[in-house]
Amino acid sequence: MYTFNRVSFFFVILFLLSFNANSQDLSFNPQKDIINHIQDSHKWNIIGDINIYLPVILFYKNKVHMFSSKEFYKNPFLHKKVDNIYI
Amino acid sequence: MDNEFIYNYYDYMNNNLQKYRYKLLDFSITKNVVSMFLSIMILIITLLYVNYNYKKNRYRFINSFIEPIIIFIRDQIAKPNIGIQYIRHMPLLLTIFFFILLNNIIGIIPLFPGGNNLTGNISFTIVLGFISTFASIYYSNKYFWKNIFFPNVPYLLYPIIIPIELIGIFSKALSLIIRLFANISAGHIIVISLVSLIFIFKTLIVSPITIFFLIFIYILELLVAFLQAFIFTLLTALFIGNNANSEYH
Repeated sequence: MYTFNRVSFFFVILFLLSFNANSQDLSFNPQKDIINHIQDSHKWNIIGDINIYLPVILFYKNKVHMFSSKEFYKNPFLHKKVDNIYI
Repeated sequence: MDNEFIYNYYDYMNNNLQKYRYKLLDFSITKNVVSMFLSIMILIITLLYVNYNYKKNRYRFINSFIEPIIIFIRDQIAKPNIGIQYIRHMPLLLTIFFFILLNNIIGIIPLFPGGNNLTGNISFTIVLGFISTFASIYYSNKYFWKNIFFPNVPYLLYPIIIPIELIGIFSKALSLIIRLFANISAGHIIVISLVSLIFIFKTLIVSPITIFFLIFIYILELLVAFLQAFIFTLLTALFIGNNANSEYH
């Protein structure tokens, strides 16, 4: 999981670089939408603001932790981080 | 769920490994995982139903849709590339073909259950590429290994030939992985970019051009969905056939 994320992060950077040219002049920036679509995510958009929040399942210290990914999206600081993790 | 644990989790995911003595494993069910489960369910139900119909010896529409594809893979991919033992490899080839094809098609449906970039995900294609490579190595004969480690060339060339042959195994897998990943991701990016043109120019005048190009790109993506599934299956069959029928030389 960990190594794959690093590999995929390399490709995210490649995508970002390919879309960076002259992006400052535009008022609307499609980069974020494109990257959000290409990436994997914890929430599944149905239509508009209606989302399905999928479960997060972690195995840590021989215990299974399971909670809704809505916990991430409540917190603006985590929200920013969540967007950059998965491809 | 305490907040501190979630913070720790994201620290961990951002590779600050030094703080943690215990390994944290992530089995989260993300969007792509759900999409994959969906396609697996569709495949199992559809293909078992087709199988059931053949056992009952009766005609249904879905049979006449699936049968030509299976015949095509048998006659055009498996038989010419693998040879006399083709029947042994048909399950793997058919599974790879239908799985990639269905995921590609679900990916280009813009409505709710579809629209996931699953086959454009590098982790997904890495797993598929490794399955294909492992299969081709597993079914290889002894001359495959002989040609890698004791090739029939002057001994002075061994330090060059052996690494090249070993890299060849992995570069075949890498080409499979990157091809599927890049083709599908590129299609998704082009579609969103064309839609974004309307918002960038802030006018509806662009929309006929956008719609025209979108229809064009969607038809192209449908072609690519079939083509990539076909290419992946063809190359898997080719590698298996090459390794299984290696000859002494």
